[in-house]
Amino acid sequence: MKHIKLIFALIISTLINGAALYASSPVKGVVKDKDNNPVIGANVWWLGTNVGATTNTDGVFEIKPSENTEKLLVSYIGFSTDTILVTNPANYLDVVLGGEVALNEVVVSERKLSTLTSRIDPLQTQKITYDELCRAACCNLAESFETNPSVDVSYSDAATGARQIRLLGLAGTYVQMLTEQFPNLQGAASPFGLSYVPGPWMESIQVSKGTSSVKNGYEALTGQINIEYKKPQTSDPLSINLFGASTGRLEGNADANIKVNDKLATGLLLHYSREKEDHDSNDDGFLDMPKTEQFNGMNRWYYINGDYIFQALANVMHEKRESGQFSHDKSHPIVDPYKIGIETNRGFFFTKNGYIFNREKNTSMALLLSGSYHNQDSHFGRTIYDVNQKNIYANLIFETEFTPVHKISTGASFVYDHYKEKLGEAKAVGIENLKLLRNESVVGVYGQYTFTPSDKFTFLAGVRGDVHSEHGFFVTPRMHVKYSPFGDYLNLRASVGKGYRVANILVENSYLLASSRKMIFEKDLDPFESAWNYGASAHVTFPLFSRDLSIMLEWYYTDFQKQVVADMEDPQAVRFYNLDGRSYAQNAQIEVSYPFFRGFTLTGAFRWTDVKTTYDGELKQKPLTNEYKGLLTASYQTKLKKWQFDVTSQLNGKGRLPNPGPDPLWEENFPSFVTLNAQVTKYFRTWSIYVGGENLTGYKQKNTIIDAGNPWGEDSRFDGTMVWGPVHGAKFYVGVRWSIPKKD
Amino acid sequence: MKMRKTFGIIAALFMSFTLVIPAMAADTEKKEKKGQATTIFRMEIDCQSCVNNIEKNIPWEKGVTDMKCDIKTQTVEVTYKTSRTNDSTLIAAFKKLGKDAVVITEEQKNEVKEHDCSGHDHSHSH
Repeated sequence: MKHIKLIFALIISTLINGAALYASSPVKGVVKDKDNNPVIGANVWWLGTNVGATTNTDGVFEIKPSENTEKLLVSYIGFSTDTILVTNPANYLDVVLGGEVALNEVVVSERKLSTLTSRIDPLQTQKITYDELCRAACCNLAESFETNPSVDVSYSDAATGARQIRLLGLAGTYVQMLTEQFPNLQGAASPFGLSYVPGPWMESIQVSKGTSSVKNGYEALTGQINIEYKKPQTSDPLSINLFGASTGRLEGNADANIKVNDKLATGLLLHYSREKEDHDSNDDGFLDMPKTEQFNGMNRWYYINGDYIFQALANVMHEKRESGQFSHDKSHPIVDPYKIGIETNRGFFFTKNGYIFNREKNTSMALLLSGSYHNQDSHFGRTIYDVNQKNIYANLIFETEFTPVHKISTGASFVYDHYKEKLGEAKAVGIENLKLLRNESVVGVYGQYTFTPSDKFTFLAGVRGDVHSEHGFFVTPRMHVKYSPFGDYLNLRASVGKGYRVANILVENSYLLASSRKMIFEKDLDPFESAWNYGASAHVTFPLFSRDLSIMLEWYYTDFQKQVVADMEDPQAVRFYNLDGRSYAQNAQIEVSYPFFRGFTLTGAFRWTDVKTTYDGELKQKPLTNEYKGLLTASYQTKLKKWQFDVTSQLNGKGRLPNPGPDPLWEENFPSFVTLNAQVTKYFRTWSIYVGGENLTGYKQKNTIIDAGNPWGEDSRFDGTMVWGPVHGAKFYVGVRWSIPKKD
Repeated sequence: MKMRKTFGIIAALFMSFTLVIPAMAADTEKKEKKGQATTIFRMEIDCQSCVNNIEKNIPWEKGVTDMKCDIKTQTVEVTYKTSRTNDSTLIAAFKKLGKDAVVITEEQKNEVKEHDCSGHDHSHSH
């Protein structure tokens, strides 16, 4: 637009060449927006001078002509600044400000909030920015939610280090994981997927609670988490991160980004980490944390040519985990120790082809293609468990705005999955009820309509129909409403929607193999799950002592119709059967945030969680789920942003443990506990150093592995899955970030 | 119960933190220290990445003690020690970042501010 205007102005000026500069008469004009409304209070000034003016209530301005320049700048909040070439000051200028700057992110002189809740998106979405990720160690995706009240991350067992995410009190498998809008880290990757995304690779994370858009599929029963990696076209040419922790973890990350030319850019991201020390702080003869080693590499390409955008990404990863019994005394090795070993190789790629047909109407078409290969070979004691998954995904999306009021998005998708699993030893009963070798394909179409009659109201409705090769045809309806009666001061949202999922029972529960529990699979076990999700939220922002106080209230309810229940009420077994009765998860949360003074923000949050499932005809609280959670996080950055201090404390509520049986080896309930993390960062011009500590209260769960001394044998009650608290005590770390800054 | 207490203590610490530091901060902000000057520069700031670029570099210029970068008014307010630097040195530093900086007055900056009712920072004096 800018160029067109410049050229236009140039042509006009040549046409009326000869008109002299009259220093006495002022330059006059009007500033309007796209819709021809006058822009009041726009700032107009001559480039490189301090001669300026402001538009009046009709959008009209008058400015003394400048002898030094012909470039007149026009700026207004929410629009990008425009440069007008004034060759004839006698002409009346008609300036149309275009290029609206998306104002959903708070851009102010003061420190920007690092977790942003979109005020525009009808979906309740929180964006965790790179700045927020830098507030804690964030070695990988699993550790990126330390300062976020909505997402919990816990260890699912004390032996393998598998980390589970929990959103709205439900397991991460009910959350759809996306990387750059592509479904990823699912199926076979779900137990350890959170560790496959190195922290320094991430540009931002979007957490969307409740039912989400139908664009990405029928999954996402409780929400969606999307990860955006660093992009070659916007990232620094070179960044290096080195990290070391008191647990013996060493990590190196590097990414290089090259702009080949104006159209083409490429990025290379590398990661290596190892944690090879033996730690057994609770002296149970088992390693507290698995010994791990990971190689991870990614290459991505970005190409833009006019209205065509192409992106490609390839990621390969190798990870090895070793855990189990070990001898403190090297001269007396344990005879026949219980060992756990997990070796994973994974490859993932995607390509995105997008074409914009009409910029004014935002008419665009995009083809998303991705594929993955995942192979995991593992053994838990004498039980061998191997899984191999191949996935192909295609999604064609078409979007257009008929008018700014009516917007439509429609598309078709195809998903293919191949699973091959192997479970050794006769530990499983009824394994024939599971399909260990299966090929599934799903074809689907969707349509989504957005109605925005005014700035105050947005209505979004979507529906999709899918045909699953095993589970037939099903319909996914979803709806969102957003109402902002007083501008940004109050945003009200409500949503309702349905979600489905095919449970990958063995993979998702493979961590239960780190126990002597028998796995019992009921006859006619149907892995197809479905639930309705209802949500409502209110976000209040109001100025208090010239700063914005933000209060967010949320309520979500997930109601299962079909579910695979993992029943651990028998202390020696885990039974899998289909839900017969009610199963729901209910959450209420309040989050208050206030920047008390320049550079300092304090956020406090509290959440109540009520998750109940029918186990053998009896509605019971879901075990190993916190009944509440409190979070306090403070962040302070000095005036010149040379120092940063972060402190986060979490109150993890009490909860129930699975029935310990008549001869109990563990309690019926677990207590609440408090954790404290802190970090100090010192910034220099091109590098920064950060030092921090995790779990500074040193709280540790005792007895993380039940019957640890007797993992074998007929009467063994060995169980590494009764984990509800920190396995190891305080941990300290130090890291360095260095980068060659990007030049514009 | 013990845990509630721990959390209570931590909460109390957080609160005292929020009460003590602003008093200190307000103190340092009000008193314009001797030998220091504040200049408002106007330049074209199109996007957040421009802001980031300025924030990453200008604080490391000699003598700079405070800086506020504002995309709305297209201004950068720099406080510096007059013995260590001056406006033209800073204009040269902005030039290195590809920015043509112009010194403006508080009134010129406020001309825009008065029409801005989004409720953000209003730390300027009237």
